[in-house]
Amino acid sequence: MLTDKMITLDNVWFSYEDEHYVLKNINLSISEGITVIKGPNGSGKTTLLKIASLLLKPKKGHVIVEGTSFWKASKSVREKLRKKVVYVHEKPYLFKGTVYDNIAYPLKIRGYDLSRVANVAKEFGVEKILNKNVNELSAGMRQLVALARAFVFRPKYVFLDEPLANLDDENKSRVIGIIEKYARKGTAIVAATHMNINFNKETISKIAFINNGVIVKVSKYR
Amino acid sequence: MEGLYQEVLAITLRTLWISSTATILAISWSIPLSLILTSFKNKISIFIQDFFNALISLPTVVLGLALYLTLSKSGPLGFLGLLYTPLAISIGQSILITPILVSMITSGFQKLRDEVWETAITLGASEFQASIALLREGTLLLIRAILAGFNRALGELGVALIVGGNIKGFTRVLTTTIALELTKGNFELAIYLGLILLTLSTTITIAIRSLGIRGAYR
Repeated sequence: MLTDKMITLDNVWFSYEDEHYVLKNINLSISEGITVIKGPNGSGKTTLLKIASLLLKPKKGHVIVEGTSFWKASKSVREKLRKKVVYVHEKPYLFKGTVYDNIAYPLKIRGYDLSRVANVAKEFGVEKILNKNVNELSAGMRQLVALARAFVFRPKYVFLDEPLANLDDENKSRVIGIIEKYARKGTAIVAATHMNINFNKETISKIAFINNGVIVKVSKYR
Repeated sequence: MEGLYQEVLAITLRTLWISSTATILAISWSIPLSLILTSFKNKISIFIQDFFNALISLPTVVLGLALYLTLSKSGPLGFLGLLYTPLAISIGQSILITPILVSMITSGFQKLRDEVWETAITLGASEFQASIALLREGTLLLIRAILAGFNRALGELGVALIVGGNIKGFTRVLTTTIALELTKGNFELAIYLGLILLTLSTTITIAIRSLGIRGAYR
């Protein structure tokens, strides 16, 4: 059932620069809990995530955020809605500066209290490298910093592109645990992946299988 | 000899002053324009970018002629009385280097755009805040573009000669003095001035190169 507390993709089509459609007739609703988008490389997972996280405008169809058609809304409404959403790239970009600067960025943008940085850094196991320059970090550490930066402002919708890429087994378990914790607290989390992630079934909302830009199957768990 | 030394020093300082003013003028509109071109990915922005790319090879004498016709007494901006002033040279040079700045900054920003812009926006930045992030992350490429523009302004002759008039003690710069001394057969002074210009230009080129290397290993 559609509620106004979610993001819905309604008959979404997308193409890059007039090429053929890479997403075709996508209908998907994102609500509390974990939504897993599964599909092989090049199936359209990243594009789907970028559209749902309000970064890309679909060529056809609507992205409805909490009852508002996002791309038809005014700029101020769009900026307000965007503040509830975060997208983490598979190879995240970290701004010049230290780990602290990066995790604090979304808080500074919103004028929030910066004391949250320490807690989230501890949660993601990056508390000891807060003063390190991001150029000195390994790919795995960069991933953890990007995830900490995404969760620090407690977004309502989190879109993760291959969230376990670059992580070792210990950090994979840590990140899965954190994602499940936030999902239980009511955050809507969408994870696009080509591999199997062993999320606790009670935290999974649905699994959507995508291939060649088409959602071929949706398994609902709630 | 001391008089000559002082004149050369004055010409060098004037050259630096005029080209710096030109660069500052060009920066003032090139950076906002580049940000606009970077934020829009459509056919119009691509056309504008191609237009500026084509203007990079604009002959300085053609620009000088166009400016002369605009700034001369019978021209549309003749009432400003700018012809044969240092400001006229600065304006001409700023127009000359604008395509270089816009092309370099826009192409650099576009490479950064997807990563920086997208990251800033998704972390809650407004378009203005995302632009600030883009400028901050692109500092090195901005400096490189500015130095390249300044270097071009420093070495141009056509505009300085046509709209500056090569007036001694007023609009005479290194390039126009070299041209003048050559016609007078004063090769020694021309070579001396040429070496000063070459030193300035080489120093800037080395600075651009080292910034490029630093950027590559960031």
